[in-house]
Amino acid sequence: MRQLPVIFLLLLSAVSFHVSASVDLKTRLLVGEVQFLAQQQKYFDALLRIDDVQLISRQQLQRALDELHREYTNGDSVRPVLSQADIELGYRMSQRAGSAIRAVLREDIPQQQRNRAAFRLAKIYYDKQQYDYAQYALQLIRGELFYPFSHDVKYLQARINARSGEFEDAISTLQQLQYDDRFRGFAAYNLAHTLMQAGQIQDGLDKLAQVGEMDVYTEPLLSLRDKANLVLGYNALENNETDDALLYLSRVRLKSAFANKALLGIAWVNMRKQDYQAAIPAWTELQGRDAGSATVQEAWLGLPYSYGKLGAYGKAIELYEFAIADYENVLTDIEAALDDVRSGRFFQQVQAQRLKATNEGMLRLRELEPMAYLDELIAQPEFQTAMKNIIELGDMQSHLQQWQDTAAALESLVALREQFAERVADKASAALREVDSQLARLALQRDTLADMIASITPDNNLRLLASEEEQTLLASLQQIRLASEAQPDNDKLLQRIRRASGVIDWRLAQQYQQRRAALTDELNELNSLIQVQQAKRDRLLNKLQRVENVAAYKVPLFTVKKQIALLQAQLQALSDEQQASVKNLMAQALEKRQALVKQYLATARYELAKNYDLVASQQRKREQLTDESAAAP
Amino acid sequence: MRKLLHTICLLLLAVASFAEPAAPPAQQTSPAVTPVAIDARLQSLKQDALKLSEQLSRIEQQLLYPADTHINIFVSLPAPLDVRLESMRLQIDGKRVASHLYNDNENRALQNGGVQRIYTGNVTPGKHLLQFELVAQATAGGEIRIGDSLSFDKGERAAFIEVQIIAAGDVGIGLQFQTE
Repeated sequence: MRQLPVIFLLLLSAVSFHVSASVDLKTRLLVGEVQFLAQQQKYFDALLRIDDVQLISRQQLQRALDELHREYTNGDSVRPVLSQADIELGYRMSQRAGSAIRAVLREDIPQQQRNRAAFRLAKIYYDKQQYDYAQYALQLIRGELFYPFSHDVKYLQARINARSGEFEDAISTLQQLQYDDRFRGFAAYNLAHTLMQAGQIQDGLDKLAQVGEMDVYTEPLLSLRDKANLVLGYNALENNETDDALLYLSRVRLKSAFANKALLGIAWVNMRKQDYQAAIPAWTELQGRDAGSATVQEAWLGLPYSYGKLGAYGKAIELYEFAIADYENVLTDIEAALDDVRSGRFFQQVQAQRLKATNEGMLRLRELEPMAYLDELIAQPEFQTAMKNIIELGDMQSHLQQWQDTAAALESLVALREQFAERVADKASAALREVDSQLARLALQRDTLADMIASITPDNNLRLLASEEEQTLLASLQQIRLASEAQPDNDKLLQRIRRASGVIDWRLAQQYQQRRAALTDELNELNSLIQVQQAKRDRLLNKLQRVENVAAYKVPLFTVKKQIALLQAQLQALSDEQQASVKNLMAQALEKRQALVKQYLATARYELAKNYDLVASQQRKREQLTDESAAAP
Repeated sequence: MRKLLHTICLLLLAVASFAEPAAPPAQQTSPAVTPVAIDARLQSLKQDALKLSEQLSRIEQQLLYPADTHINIFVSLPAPLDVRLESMRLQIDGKRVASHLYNDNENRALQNGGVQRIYTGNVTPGKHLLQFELVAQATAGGEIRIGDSLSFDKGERAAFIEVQIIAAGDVGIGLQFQTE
């Protein structure tokens, strides 16, 4: 396994994501892109992008992290930042995340960061139910711990203790933590459960009763309160404490995940008390709910049964008839669901829905047709793991198919480029020759000019600064001077020539700085032109190199294609194995429900007939009474 | 009925045990086919897949995006803003190269500091003009349309350009560019 960058893992705590300008733009953008994908739960894509981040130098990344930490400690607004370990866990790669964190622990890093890494490792082991390893990881946490981290560690320690059967230790820690607002309700609930596991049933129930009476407003805590009341209600029902059972069960909200079971409990408490009238509202509320729920299907029988017990046979008959129709519909649906599962169509639906292998994805899974009758199965963590495996296997297969297509397209591209390579190479070579000749010409011009500039001083070679016009004038004056030298009485003329030349020399001396600067500009311009040509030359060389390198991609592409095909086969085999197992589980659960509904249907038919008999018997009695009263004198 | 209730009670206690997921009950599957065992094998295949993707990306990058023409454009919100991004359009030298409609997840990820890559492509070395248009919805109501442009010089190295959406002006938001 490739070595994961330790520095990236140091982002284990949530830190602000304002990175100042001193951090390299590319680093910031690539790390930001990983965050963008991970926060949308596109963990696989995020992990692919991490490869880009890993190409950044360690020094740059360290600077980015220093900035992040500085901003965080300055108390700026906190934006969630996911570490590589978070993303790997999001993509359910706990093995890799665990290895990465273990690598961090081997590094020479400050104790505070080591503690956080050890805590994360302990959580991974806890989630994997490897409690001994989790305990070992927690033991790596050393030194003084500060709140809230200190309580996070204690809470995890308590949960590990409880799972390992060390109830006394767990109870003692949870008793301390139950008053920490961050664990409000959950610590008390877990304490109640641990007390009961330790045999302190009444203490546990008392604690659970406290949770059941919590004054809370957030959904997780409201749901926890409902759960506590449900457990208390069924416990009271089991102990025949019917009034208590009704009290607890009626505290469960009607719009809650536990409402159906609470309503069923209320109905059964009243049935046990033989208060059939009181059972009717709960049965009525239940029978109008989700037809796929087992509790609702039970209510379809319970409601007419209660009416029957109250002597309302007509109403009971009507409701039994509805129930029979409903059961028949459910049986048809279950048969269709079984067909979908056995034929594999269900798995196609799962892929078509583009579900994610997350808890959110599992909620959406419940919306699929066959799942309506599998509420108990889908609540099982192992079934959820299996479904997440299937979803991820499907995703990976579609990724691999895309990669296979990409590899094939790249192969075609390489073949195409090979065909044109010679032509491109010829053109590029010709262009390179042209550029080389230009460069040589420009370099000669540049060197000549540089030499010339170097030779000019205020006392020497001033005439090299003369303009073209001035050079022509000077040349003409020289010609006239040479021609006039042979002639007699030329003094006046030579004087005039000297005067004219003197004017030009005087002007050159006066404008020395200005003219020399103009020549330097010209030299700079030549240098710029040379740079442009040099860049052009580099590009052409790159092009030639690429043309020559095209063939070098053939072998790696072939190897990648082969590896993709191999991986596709391995994924298919694993997918088949997992689908067969899930198919089996779902079919078993559906058949079990089918058998139950058939039993309900038979009971409903029997009860319907019985009620018709009771009505007939009532009718006969009434007729008999009428006859007797008519026959009476 | 008592037996049924007892079973329900046990079931509830099992489901309602800890705030964290409870230990899964044993299923009627052979040990090798347990979801956890398959998950472990799947994790190993994921590693292989990531490695393969890395190799393929490298080849793809070298073949399709040589550094002297490679350009990457990103969008970010340096600080959270009271807007919801609706759509964006990107043009290079007057030619539309990217457009995007934002969903809620993308908005949330951007507000949380994520950076969105909106374009990866090639441009010839030299001077170019980038034009960016954005449509957003103010949280307080009302549509905001803004646009800005950037002249940039494509050099020998791969170019990275960031379009930052910032709080500014009368309309509430503005654009600024960062280039490498």
